[in-house]
Amino acid sequence: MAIWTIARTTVGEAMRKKVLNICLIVAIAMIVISLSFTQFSFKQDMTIVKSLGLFVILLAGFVISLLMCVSLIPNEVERRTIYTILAKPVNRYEFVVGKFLGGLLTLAINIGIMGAVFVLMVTLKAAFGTDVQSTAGGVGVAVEAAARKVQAFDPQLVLGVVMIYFQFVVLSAVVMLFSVFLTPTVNFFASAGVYIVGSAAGIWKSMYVSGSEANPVVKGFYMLVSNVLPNFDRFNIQNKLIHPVQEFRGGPMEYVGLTVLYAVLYSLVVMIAAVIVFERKEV
Amino acid sequence: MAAAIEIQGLTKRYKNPLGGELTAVDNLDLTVEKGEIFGFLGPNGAGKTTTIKVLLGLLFPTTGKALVLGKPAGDIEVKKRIAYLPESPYFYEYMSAREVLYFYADLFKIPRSTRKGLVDDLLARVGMTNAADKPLRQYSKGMLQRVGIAQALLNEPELIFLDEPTSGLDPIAHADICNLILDLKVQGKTVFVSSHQLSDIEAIGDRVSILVGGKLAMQGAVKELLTTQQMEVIADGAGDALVSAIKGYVAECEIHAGRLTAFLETSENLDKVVDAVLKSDATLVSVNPRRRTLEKLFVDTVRGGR
Repeated sequence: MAIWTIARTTVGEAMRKKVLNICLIVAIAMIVISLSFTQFSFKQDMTIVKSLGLFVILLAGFVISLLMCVSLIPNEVERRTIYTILAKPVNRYEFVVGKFLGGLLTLAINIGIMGAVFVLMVTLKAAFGTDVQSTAGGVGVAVEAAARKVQAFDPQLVLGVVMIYFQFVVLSAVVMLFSVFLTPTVNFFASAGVYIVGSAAGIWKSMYVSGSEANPVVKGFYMLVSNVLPNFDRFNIQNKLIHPVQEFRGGPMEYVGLTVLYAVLYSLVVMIAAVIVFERKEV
Repeated sequence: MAAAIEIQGLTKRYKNPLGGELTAVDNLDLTVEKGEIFGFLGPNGAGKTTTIKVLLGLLFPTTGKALVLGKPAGDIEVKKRIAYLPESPYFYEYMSAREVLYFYADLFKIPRSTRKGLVDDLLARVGMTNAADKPLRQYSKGMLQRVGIAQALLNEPELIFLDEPTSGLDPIAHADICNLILDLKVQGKTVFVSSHQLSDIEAIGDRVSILVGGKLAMQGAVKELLTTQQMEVIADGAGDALVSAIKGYVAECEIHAGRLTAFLETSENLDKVVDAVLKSDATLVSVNPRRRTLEKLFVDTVRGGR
């Protein structure tokens, strides 16, 4: 119950943060503006709208999760609100988990709003968009209109948004762990670094797998980086969604399901570490 | 019956990131009995807040033992029976006083069915009913302090830690909080007050301890600490002849606008001084045991301790 009380309050506070609101508004504006692309063929326009929309959600999600989570615990210490909370019958783990869940809920609301606007915009574009080339030529309009009706709502885009959310669940857990012992500024750069390195996990893995003649120390480093740091590359399914020629191994639902499971387990382990550290932290 | 607070050999050292250590509390022994108002005094940096934080489980002792209501400090069961008002309390500013109290009531797992009535009562008790639904960012320091007091009383605590409860308050709020502390004592609760408002502690405290440089420099009952053997004699219409007559019996003697104030180290020569006053043209105004102020005791202790 204390976890839920703290989580609810965290959401209430985070949703009032101007910097996060501005991120959300700018992201929504960019998604909406992308509707105005009518320079190319309908298919190309759709590709641009989808790519841009998912990229904007990814970028905004990254900024929101980092800016929000980096200050969740330090702010409580700085403002001394933590004293009155931990002086109540609240276990330290309840406090950390409550803050984390509050952060995840805030993230879900923000990404959910952006995702809903994105899917709506793509659907509208697909249903009512104008194809400059085909209308100019006057050929194939009826065929294309029929095709649009079929593809107007693309449920796979929702999977893309879900994958974006879950990679920031993992990032938020990492930020929370760091926030227990790092200052917010150091945490910001450390977590951003983990995200950047983790997003290239595929590259590190290929380097230690393929580089058989490489120095064992270098191989060991690549192996460590690709196995210990979160593999954010795994969440990157935008290309497969936008260009369906690239197929998911085992189908999209299975891939997404396994990746979500990975996110949950990884976050769980990181949060257990955060709780252990916070149990002995002096505030 | 276990004491409300028992501290034995408590030492708290902070590690300096650049090397070395800072000893905030040094081998402190302290006992606070149930039902008393205990003044925890000391200059800035004496280790008062550190000690309170150890007692609340926010900090961990380097060495020594701290028991609160018979259990180790920080025990979750103990936290159900205690309360804490930090110095200049901060709450979530977007909330109203009522929402803040609901938030803390939820942390105490107070059932929703009784929560509203309890919160309404507390808001009335601290005089915040009219402003209860305004966001906290519109509150003055005194109003925030009242909300802080209200959150500290939600669980009907047996032991209440108050850190500078009256600092920066206007005289009305100041008096209200002093009265509230006295009410708590009447209800049988133990109040542990850390304060620089020495006159408050002198007026309402049962016992005090003075911490200097992390060490206990003085401890005892307020009445005993402030009572001295010294006597004070006051007379009006006194002249130099009277001063000459009593000079050999008093420790200090001064005349301002005809009023004589004389201090005697003991009551041994009191009758001689009184006789001299009565035989003179002066009028005896009063003869009283001389009482030290807590401020004087504090200053003497701190200066002596340094």
